[in-house]
Amino acid sequence: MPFDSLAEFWSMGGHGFYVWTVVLFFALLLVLNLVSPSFITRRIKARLKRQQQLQQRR
Amino acid sequence: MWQWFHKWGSAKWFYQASAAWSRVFGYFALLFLTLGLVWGFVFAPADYQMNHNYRIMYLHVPSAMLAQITYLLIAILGLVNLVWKIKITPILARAVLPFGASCVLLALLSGAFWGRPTWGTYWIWDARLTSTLFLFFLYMGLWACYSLLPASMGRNSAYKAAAIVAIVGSVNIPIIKFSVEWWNTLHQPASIRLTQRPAMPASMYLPLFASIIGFYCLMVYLMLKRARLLLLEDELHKAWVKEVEPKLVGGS
Repeated sequence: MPFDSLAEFWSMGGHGFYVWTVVLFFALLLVLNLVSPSFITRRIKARLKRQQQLQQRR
Repeated sequence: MWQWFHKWGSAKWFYQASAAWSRVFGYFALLFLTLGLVWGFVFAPADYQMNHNYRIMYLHVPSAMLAQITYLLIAILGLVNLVWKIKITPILARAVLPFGASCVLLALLSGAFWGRPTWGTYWIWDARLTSTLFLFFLYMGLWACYSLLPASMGRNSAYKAAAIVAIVGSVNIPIIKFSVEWWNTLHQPASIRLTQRPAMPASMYLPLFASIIGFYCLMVYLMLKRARLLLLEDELHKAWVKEVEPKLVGGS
């Protein structure tokens, strides 16, 4: 193990700010990529609903 | 052979078959990313020059690699669409675009945060960094083509235009790849190559390989996941959609 304690792990030999910012940014992009397909589903549902309303009005 | 081609032309076949593939790649992505990143950030030894800061490599190298591979994939899919007009190819290209763009962003940002403590600067206009920034603009241009053009020029023409943009832009990929050899750059040349032993010990490069495999699997997973939905959206009023997703379209 290269780290003796949890505090040492967080500090990353004094480079913690750089290392963890990158990890945080990765996590952010990952979540965005995992969630964004549901935007397409929502778009499809909205389109179907709109068309349904148009049909009912006729 | 022709039957295989024909299958790829069938939207319904793709929609049904890709559900299982996307799940498999999703699990592999989870497995390899967890393995690579936990191993890399927690257990791999510290570098004798860069200390723990080099751990950024486990995100920087895969994201920079996949940013280029994804772009090439989009260009190849565009070429296949122009030559054989296989319906699913532009949808796959559209589906993988956000992942590719995210990878360039991560590569640029992780590079900046690795460069600051190692080189003393977040950014420098050297060949590797500038050509990678250009790759980001190419992704943005493609994104605009795929999302804005269909409304004004029709979907098929828009897909063709985007394919041409992607193919022309792929000239940037060898420039990124060889920039560290052609010009004097601050960026170091590649430490891992297909033809040579890596310039680091196994305890450092094995987690890197796991992370790279994880990024590849993540690309396929996200591409298939989005492609299925985009296909559904493009073909919402075709008969097969009602057949396979009666709950979604049944109401109308």
